[in-house]
Formats: sequence, structure tokens, C-alpha cells
Amino acid sequence: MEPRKRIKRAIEWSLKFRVDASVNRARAGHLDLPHGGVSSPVYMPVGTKASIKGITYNEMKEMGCEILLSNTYHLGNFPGTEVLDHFDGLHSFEGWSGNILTDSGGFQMVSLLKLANITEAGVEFQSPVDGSMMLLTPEESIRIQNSIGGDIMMALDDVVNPMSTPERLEEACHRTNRWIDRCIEGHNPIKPQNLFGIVQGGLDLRLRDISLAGLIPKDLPGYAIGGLCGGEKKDDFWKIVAHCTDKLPWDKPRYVMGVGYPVDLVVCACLGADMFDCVFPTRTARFGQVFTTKGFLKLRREEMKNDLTPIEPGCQCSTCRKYSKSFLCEAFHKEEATCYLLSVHNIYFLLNLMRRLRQSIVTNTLDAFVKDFMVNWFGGLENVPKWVFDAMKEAKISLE
Amino acid sequence: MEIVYYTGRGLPPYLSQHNLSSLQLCLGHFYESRNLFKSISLQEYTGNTHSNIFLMIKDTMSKGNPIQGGVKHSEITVSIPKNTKITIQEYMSFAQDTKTQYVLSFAEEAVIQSGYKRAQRSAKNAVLALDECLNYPISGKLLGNVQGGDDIEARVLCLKEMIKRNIDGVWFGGFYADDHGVANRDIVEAVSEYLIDYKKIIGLSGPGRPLDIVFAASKGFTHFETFWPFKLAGEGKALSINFENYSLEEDNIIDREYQEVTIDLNNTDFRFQKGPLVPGCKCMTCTHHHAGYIYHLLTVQEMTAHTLLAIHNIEIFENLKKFISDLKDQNKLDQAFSTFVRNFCTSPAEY
Repeated sequence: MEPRKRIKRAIEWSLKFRVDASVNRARAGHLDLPHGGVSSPVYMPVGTKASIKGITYNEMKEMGCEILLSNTYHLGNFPGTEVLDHFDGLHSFEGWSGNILTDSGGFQMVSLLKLANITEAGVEFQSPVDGSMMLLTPEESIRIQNSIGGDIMMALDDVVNPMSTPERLEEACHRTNRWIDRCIEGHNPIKPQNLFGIVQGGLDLRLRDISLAGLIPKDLPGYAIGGLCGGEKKDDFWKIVAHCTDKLPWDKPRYVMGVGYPVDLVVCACLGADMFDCVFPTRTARFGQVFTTKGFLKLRREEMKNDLTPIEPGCQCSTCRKYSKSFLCEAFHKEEATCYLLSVHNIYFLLNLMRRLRQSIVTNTLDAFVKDFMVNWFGGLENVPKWVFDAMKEAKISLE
Repeated sequence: MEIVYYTGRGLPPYLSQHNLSSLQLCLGHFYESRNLFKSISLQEYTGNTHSNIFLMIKDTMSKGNPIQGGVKHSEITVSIPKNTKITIQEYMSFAQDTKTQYVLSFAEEAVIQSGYKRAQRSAKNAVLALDECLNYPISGKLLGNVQGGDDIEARVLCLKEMIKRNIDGVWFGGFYADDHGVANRDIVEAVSEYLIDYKKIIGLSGPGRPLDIVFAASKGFTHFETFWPFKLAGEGKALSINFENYSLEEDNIIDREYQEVTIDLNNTDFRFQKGPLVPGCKCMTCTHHHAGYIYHLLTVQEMTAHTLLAIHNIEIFENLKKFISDLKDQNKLDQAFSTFVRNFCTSPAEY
């Protein structure tokens, strides 16, 4: 099969980002991307293997989704770049007309593969296809992402748990900065794509500053904050987000990787982050757990069997418009489709949460929105954890 | 004619967000929640407010011997929920409380190969049960549940008695997941002569293979329960039938096991396949996705593959409805089976 022709040229990133409104650190932004506009703050549902757990892309469009995340590691294995090139990239292959962000594959290497070993060359791992040893280099990650053709690509980073040793964190930080040049050099697209760099450095503010100082001069179209959501304390989590968003350029989108817990999304958005992704909404749905404005709801509980109200009264998702808690509770465990129905609700909940938060920034009612959200979620102001108060103080949002 | 899609518990397999015009529901799945239906209809409870609901005692996909009758016609033991005794009174009260539009009368639902004695008993008891059902008023339509297993004589006797009653139609029950093909058509053929002048609903339960539906429609049947589009979707298969192009065929078909043309998306030949599953198909799957994408989803075991295949197969079934209706309008229903076989099936030698 004849490979697609690529023309090496000076890189001109196509992403245009503007801040439509702001309240203190929080921004209502707009990303102009090759496959349409994206309003931010935005939650990006995860279509790991070019699919979101039984949900069709028509349904994703109806939910108002403008951008999906796909996994380079998984798509590199199946269907593989040969197929992706044949279909002229992932958009055409999977029939999704909206935007796509692809991760670099590094996270899956480290989290899924026991035999992963990271060297200066790249990430060595054992192929799940034939068991042979393989090497994912920054250049190879970008090559696969070029074949996928996502609107936003992520640079390969040295993924490290924030609880790792200081030496390992330092090494990962410097290596990620060295790899960004190789990612840019390896970028050889057919269609317009945009590369985001990833700020590493664990919970060490000094390392974060080193990472920021290495990345920002590259003038990339956007930046991600990586290396969080690895079991660190919430106090550490928000402080790192606040530190990084404070130093990242105001006119570039900021993406906090792996965040899908509703409270975290609200806190990070208030601290100036614009983009989020996580499999949490679909994963927690598989355990019968759904988001509501009053916190988590476990549909497997006995009292749900007689509750004829929807998961969230007033919710406009297709699950809440059709089904009661009673029906979903009875069907759970007996029908695979129930997990799909709960996933639809959870994804819609996060998409809508970000839409509502954005609107409150535009109308300058963010304080009231955040207070209302936190009071409802935690069941009273007295139950809101101290770390949320501290984070909101940093964001100049009053919860009193 | 109408296709009544199998759901069991109210969720069509792989298609829980789609509105289908008629759905089958099985009492057993709601039996333990029956007290809820004082305040909500079965349509509302299952989120199918735009569909007609057909209430049945059996779940077509149940394995083994799911409904066991006894000497008494007014009581049966069902396997869903496990080993639960249900009486006619309970069943009809449920039908009334749930405001179900179509209700099959109470019956043992003997499986097809259940033996002579049980076939005879199921037919006799089905008539007695129907008479008792008529004592309980319901807001929906009551359909006589014709039983008798594969005993043609028992089926005919049961049918003859039921069509004397003041009911809204008859429904041939007792068919389960594997009861399709020639055996199914033999029963339909045998009873059809007694239905020539019957102008009410004539329904056929079972897995609802297209071939069997076309055959039964040509014999005057009007309603068909089906699991087939979901079964094929679950196996990674798509019906490959384009009703836009066919020629009318009048020759008699020897009733062998022909097979509807399907494509198996698990086949590696589809890995690089651009374009729809069936050229010209107007379903969402064919207009938005490549066959190669469905192959990929099956390879990585993503549930969306089955959803997209079910959407396509449902489209073919809806086109099947139109195919049969068009032939009926042209007074050519007697050619439906031969036309379908000659245009859209492979012969036994070819598969």
C-alpha cells in the first residue's frame, strides 16, 4: 500500500485560542480547531479505542460534545497506522466530524505494561501483540499521532507517579523537556495538527518551574499539566495546578490531564485550567455509580428500587429523560446496556457542568455558581473540605 | 404488518436509546416490581412511551424449560423470576395495572419439542385460560395465545376454539430462540388454512428470522416478534439485503433451509473496507461509518460494534416490512416467499 505523502515544512500551528471572558483566574475560552470550535472550560470524553462504550458519535454530538480524546498506544496497536493511513486518519475512519485530541501513548506504556523501561531513547516495552520488545520514541509517538490526524497531539513525556523518589522526578522532568524538541522535529503532518507540551515535575514546585521554563519558549499552541491524579493529597494537587496555570501563558489553553471528578473539574477551572479528560465517568458507571448535583448516587442501593424519579430531576440527558432510578436499579447487573445508560448520564453531566460553569464566567456569576455547586455536592457549606476553601481562596472565589 | 422487537425487560439489546414502534416485554422481569405499577404504566416505566407494548409470559431467549404448567390451567411456574408461581388473576391484574396495549393470554407456553402429552395439555389449558382471562377487564387488546408445541392437531384445535372467542386476535406462542426455519414454517403452513377469513391480528412469536416472517406474512400473519436483528448484531453480522432491487419470482420453492444473505464483519477481509455495510442502505451506520471501522470495533471488543450493527439490521427489518406491505398492496403476497428466497437468500449448497 502506498504511504500517504507528507511534506516537511515550517510548522504553523493552526489552533487559535481566545479568552471570551474571565473571572479572576477562571476563563471562558474558545479554541478554534481544524474540526470546529471548542468552548472551554471543556471536559473531553475518552474514546480509548475509537469508541465510547456503546455510545454512537451521533449521540455524542447530540450531547454537545465538541472534542474527544483517543489513545495513541491503543490505536497504534489496533487498527494500526497502515489502516489509519488507508482511511486518511481517525476522523474518517471512525466517522467523527468533531475534534480529536490524542495522548502520546506514554501513560499507557507505564500504567498498562509491566515490562516498560524508560531510557533516554524512549519507552521500551513488550508488544502486547507478539511479545517482542519494542521502543516508543518521541518521534514514533508523533509519527503515529500524525497517522491518526488528531487536531491536538500530546508530546511524549516521561510519565512518572508524583509519589516517586525526588531523583526519579528530577530525571523525568529534564527528560520530558529534552523530548519536546524531538517531538517537534518528528512532526510531519499531512493535515493541520497542533502539539501540546506537558509540564512535569511531580509535587516539587522547583521542578515544575524547570519544566515550565523549558516548555514555554517553544511557543507551542497549548500546554498540559501532567503527573497528577496519582494518589497525591488534594492540597498538593490544587497547589500544583495553581502554580502551573499562574505561570503558563494567558493566551494559550491549559489542559489538566486525567481529571474527571466533578469537584476537581470545578476547582481546576477556577484556577485557570481549560481542558480536562478522564475515563472516570464511564468507569464508575460500570459500578452503578452516577453523578448528581448532590454528589454520587449508588443505583445498586435497595431503596432505589421504588424510586420512580430520574437520576437527576431536570437533567436533559437521554437517560434521565427516559428512565427512572427504579428501572435502572432493576436492570443493572441484568442488562449490559444499563452501564451504557449510566455512562451517557455521567458524560452528559460533566459536559453540562462545564457549560454551566462557562456561562457563569460569561455572566460574572462564578462565585454563586461555585458556592451552589459545592454546597449541593457536599451537602452543606459545613461539609466542604478545607482544601476546596483554600483552593477557592487562591482563585479569589468566595464560598461564604 | 408489524414487527414486535424483543426486549425482555424493556431495553432492546444494544439499542436502549432508540424508539421502535412495537416492543415485546416479558412479565417475569417486572413481577417483583409489580406494586410500582399502580402509579406508572409499563410504557413509562421502561422509557418506551412512543412504542406499543406486547406483554408476554415467556422470554424468547430463556433457555431450557422456562414455563412449566400443571394439571391446573390457571397456574404456571416460570423461571424468571426463579421458580415463581403465577396465576391468571395476577397476570391479568398486572396487564391492567400496567395499561399494556397488547396482552397475550395466559398459557403454559410449552416448548416446541415438548412431547405429545404436554403439547396436548398446553393447547387445552390455553383455551381454558383464555376463557378465564376474558373475565378480567383490561384496557389493552387481548390476544389468544395459541399453544400445542409442534403437534399440528393440537395447534389447530386450540386455534379453532380461540377464534370463536370475542378477542382482538391470536398469537402463536411457544417458539423460543432456536425455533426457526422449516419447523417453524411447517406449523405456520398447517394452521394457515384456518385463518383465511380471520381479519384480526395474527401474530407469530419466536426469534423472527426474515425468511420465516416473509413466509408467515404470505400466509396471512400480520405481527411478528423478532430477536433476529439483535442476534446477528451480537455475532458481528449484518443483513446484506437491498430491497431497492429485486425481481418478482413466481416459482414454487422447495422448503429447504435457505439462508438470508449476511456479511460477517469479523472477517479480516473487512479490515481495509471503505464504504457502507450495504451499498445504498440509508441507516445511520451505513451513512456515517465504514465497514472497516465495524471490523476494528469487533476486533477490540467494543460494544459500539453491536450497537451499529443492530441499527443497520433494524433498518433492514423496517425495509422488510415495506417489502411485504408493497407486495400485499399489489395482491402479490403469494409470491413474497419465492421472491425473497430467489433475490436475497443463498441456497443450502452455497453455505
